[in-house]
Amino acid sequence: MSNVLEMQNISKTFPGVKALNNISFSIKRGEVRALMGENGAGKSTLIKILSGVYQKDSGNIIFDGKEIDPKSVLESAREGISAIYQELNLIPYLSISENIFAGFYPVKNGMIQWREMEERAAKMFADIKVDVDINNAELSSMSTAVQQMVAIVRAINMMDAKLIIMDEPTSSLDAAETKSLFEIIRDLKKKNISVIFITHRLDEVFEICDTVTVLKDGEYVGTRNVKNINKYELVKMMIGHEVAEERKMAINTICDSKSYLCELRNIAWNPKLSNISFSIRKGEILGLGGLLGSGRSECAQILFGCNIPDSGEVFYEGNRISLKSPVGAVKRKMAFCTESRRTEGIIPNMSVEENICIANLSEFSNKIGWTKRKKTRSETERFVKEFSIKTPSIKQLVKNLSGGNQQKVLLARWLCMNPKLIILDEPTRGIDVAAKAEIEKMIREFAGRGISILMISSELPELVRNCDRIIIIYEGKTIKELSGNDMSEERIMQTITKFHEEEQEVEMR
Amino acid sequence: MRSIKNLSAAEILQRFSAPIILLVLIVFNALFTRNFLSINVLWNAIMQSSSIMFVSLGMMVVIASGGIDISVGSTLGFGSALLVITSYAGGDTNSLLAVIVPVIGCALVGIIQGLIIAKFKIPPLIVTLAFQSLIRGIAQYCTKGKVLVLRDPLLNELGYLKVGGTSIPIQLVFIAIAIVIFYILTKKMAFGSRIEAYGDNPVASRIVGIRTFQLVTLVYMISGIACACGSILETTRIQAADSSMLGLNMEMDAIAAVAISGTPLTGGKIRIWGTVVGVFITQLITMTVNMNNIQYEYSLLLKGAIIFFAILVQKSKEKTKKGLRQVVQNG
Repeated sequence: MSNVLEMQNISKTFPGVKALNNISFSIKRGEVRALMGENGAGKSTLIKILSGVYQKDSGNIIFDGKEIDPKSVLESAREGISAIYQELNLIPYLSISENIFAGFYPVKNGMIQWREMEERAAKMFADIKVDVDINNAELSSMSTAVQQMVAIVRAINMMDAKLIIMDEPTSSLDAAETKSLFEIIRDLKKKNISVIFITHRLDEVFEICDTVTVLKDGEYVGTRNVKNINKYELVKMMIGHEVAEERKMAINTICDSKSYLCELRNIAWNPKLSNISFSIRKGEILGLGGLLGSGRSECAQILFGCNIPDSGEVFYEGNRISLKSPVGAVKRKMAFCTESRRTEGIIPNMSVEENICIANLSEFSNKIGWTKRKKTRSETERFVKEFSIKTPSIKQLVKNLSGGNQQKVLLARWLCMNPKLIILDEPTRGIDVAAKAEIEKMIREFAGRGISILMISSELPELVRNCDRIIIIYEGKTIKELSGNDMSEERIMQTITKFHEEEQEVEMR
Repeated sequence: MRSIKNLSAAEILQRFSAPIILLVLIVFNALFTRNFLSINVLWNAIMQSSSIMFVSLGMMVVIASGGIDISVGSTLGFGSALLVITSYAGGDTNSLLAVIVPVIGCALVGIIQGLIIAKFKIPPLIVTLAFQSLIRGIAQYCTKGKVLVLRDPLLNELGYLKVGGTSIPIQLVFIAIAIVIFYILTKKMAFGSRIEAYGDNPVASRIVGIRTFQLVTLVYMISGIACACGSILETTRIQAADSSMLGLNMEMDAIAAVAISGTPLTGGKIRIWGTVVGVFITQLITMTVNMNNIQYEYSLLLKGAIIFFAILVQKSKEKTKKGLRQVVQNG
């Protein structure tokens, strides 16, 4: 029996949607399988059925030689299926070692053996070459990347998993962390553990996966060996038609080089930012590049008034401003699409309509605060059409939409207040290829209308493709500005590594 | 929204569980409780429900914002004490002042609590718990621990006023006014959307430019004013202010009424009609118990069981995948 998993004719229907239709495929032991497809293709539903969150309507799952039908996450974990979701199931107030061993504490005479536990956890982390405080610090104080590592270490060592499902594990990791994750995956392969790897990044598929399965609109499209397929063919499988890699539009014609909309001057905010200075022109797309944790998001938060800087000045439309809260930023027509869409962006239990109108309620209500329902409805319908937001109705709860459509709702929310500046923090994270192209196009269109854009992205190609200028940030400092032909992935990486080496030399001396 | 025709029997039971329980209670009483169907009993029920209606609607707003206010009973007692004391001080010409002072006083109590909650980010449960004790103490201090009899001809009459020569009590009018005001406030005005947004996702609400500090303060102020209205109705009905007993455990009835409505206690949704039905259910339970001479300990049991059942039926329809909820927030 060389197949660890066989899915036979799996179907699942939600009220009004056929989420999966007759999906069949199998995975060998020690195989790394990429699962790809646009948002709403059915990937999430499929892995949730595998891990027991949802129950299938029909079909069979044969795992490790016997038929299973897990009714809960616990049941599937007992069989040896371990899923690591984008939203991690960890306990924020415990340490790393406690999180790894939660539910599996080494016990002697009814007492938890803390030292043994800490030593074993330390060894697990030494194995994967991640250097963090695993015993004393609370997990919540760690970066998303570290938390992700913890989830993986837990699945491998504690659950004795035969199949590990990773749902976009790299979306919150930087290049170095991604590399060490891939090391871990190669280790798993050696141990004959299979991996289902969900990602939107094509490069990763070709780097780490053996085979790739593509789903589209709940249907099985096909499975290929990555050696027998190229990127272009893979994208074609996913979206069903061809897209040419869209090159950057000609440099903005509206972008008026002389008039600046806003400027940050020598901003410091301990301990994340030490010296940040840059300015944004009207109608320009300015990119912020840098490694994870370099302080990119913090710059945006300062500009928007979420945090108050320790020193430095912010200028906006020629005047010095010192914002105390986002209220002032919104009043000055700034908009902010935050990094974590789910926790800081959408208001999950409100409808599409309410989510779109929430930033602009004063505009949608009369003097005494009475909401103009007709206006909110017509505006929402206009945006749903213009941005082609896929939703059964404007009354649908926004939490039921796919990631790409949620992001469009957020863009619509800000656009309906006629912003002068839109800050986009990782605007296409976790969004499929087609929706990504759409959103990038929308962003360039906004700039074309004269709106200034501040764009933060971990994906260098995305920055290079869309930005007029790129500011590079390294450990809380702005170190370089790139524009025109200087903007390329290589130049950005070079700048960062060169600066990094110089820093180290200074330290050596 | 699907039309009712397409729903299965189970779904109907779930969606309309609160009205169904109310109906069951009424039918039960009609069959087994002597004199229940007389019109006087109905009017009596209305009179008794009026103050808790105001308090519960205020509570509904607080809970929708993601908070809770367990100081409402004490605030009601405090308002009542203020009313009677002002009526003494002002002589018999100042009935209007006697109504205005408790409104201002209770609003202030709410504002102070709201400011503390918003400014210091202390859990509302703790702040209002402290105020429950604090305000009760102040109320008792004001009345020197005595029961003060209301002696203001106008206000004495108000509690037993009937609508235009019929036997309809004036309290029915006040209940209607309360519902209309809260309906407009929460369903017709932008204020309602802001509260729901804040209760659902406070971080996102702050980022979209909602003045969250103001909003929280306002929410507790509304609860305070609702308590003041409740205290006026209650004092004029009882014709006295009993600062140590009035409104005791009322927060529990109010929270129960909101919970029966299906409003999630974590905030984010306002269910006004459900709350109204919830108030009638809690009050009807009390009446059923009293009119059937059921022993006090059994009455508590019955009340607990019915509320629990109502909430259980509500909950079964929102089987969310809790396991997938994000528990880790980025530091």
